[in-house]
Amino acid sequence: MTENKNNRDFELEDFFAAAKQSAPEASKTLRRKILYTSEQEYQKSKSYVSKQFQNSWWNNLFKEFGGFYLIVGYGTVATIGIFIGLSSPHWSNIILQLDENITIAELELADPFVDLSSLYSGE
Amino acid sequence: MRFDQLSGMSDNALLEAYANGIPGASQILTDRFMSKIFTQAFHRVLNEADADDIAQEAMLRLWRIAPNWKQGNAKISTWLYKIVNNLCIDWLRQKKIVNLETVTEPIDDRQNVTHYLLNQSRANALYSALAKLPVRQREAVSMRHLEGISNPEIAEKLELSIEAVESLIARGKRTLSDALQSQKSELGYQND
Repeated sequence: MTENKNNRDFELEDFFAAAKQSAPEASKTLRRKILYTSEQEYQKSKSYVSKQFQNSWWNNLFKEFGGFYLIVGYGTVATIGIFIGLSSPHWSNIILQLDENITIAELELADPFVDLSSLYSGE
Repeated sequence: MRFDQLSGMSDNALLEAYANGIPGASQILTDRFMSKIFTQAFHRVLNEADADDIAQEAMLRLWRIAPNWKQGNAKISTWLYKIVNNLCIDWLRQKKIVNLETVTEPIDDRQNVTHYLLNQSRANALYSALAKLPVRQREAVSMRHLEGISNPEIAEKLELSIEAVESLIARGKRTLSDALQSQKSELGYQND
């Protein structure tokens, strides 16, 4: 019984060995196909990322404000404004001083009818 | 990055490199896994063309998951093994019958013709008997005896206990042995 079983196991091993020997190997064509799909998938994933960027809310916001360059322009102007406000450079003090020297009392309001009134008064 | 530097990288790191567009990473991954998954697929579906398709599909899924692959995920080899297994199960469900006429017969100059033909007949007889086994038994027997995977590894891949794997293999081998007994004389064995 045991001998018979061992014999059968031995034969089965023969079959496995035969199957291993006769099994085909992965071909070069398969390798080429796999590498081709790897390249295709990489390109697809790249375009997917750029599409994601195109659809992002902040990209839409950029568009609403006139595009990336205008946003940069606004940003620069705002930064300069804040800088001037915080650092108070010399020339901005001059403007303030001028502003302080002008008062309402000093303003001479011109009368647009001054010549006409002298004509009709008979002087 | 140089090719030999890439060769020393782990599978996970290579997949990350592929996702980042580093040239050569996909070649190394292909060389590491292609043969294994092709052989695995062939021993399940017993058809070279279909094994080709399955291997290609499995690798395609790997490329697709690459950008979202996390280092903490399962090992790539285990992940691929499961993918191939599932693809084979789907294939078997669709085909049901294995046509042994499509099993490739590679020509090997090193063997003499008689030995080659005998080997081929035995292989085909085994494939035919394997095709009739229940799927789990076929998987376990193929993994153990055709792919040389250890029982604990099979248990991990099939998500079974080691005892269950041993039992599957034993039952599978018994059925195979019974099925092949009737063909012994045709396959070069003396009848008892």
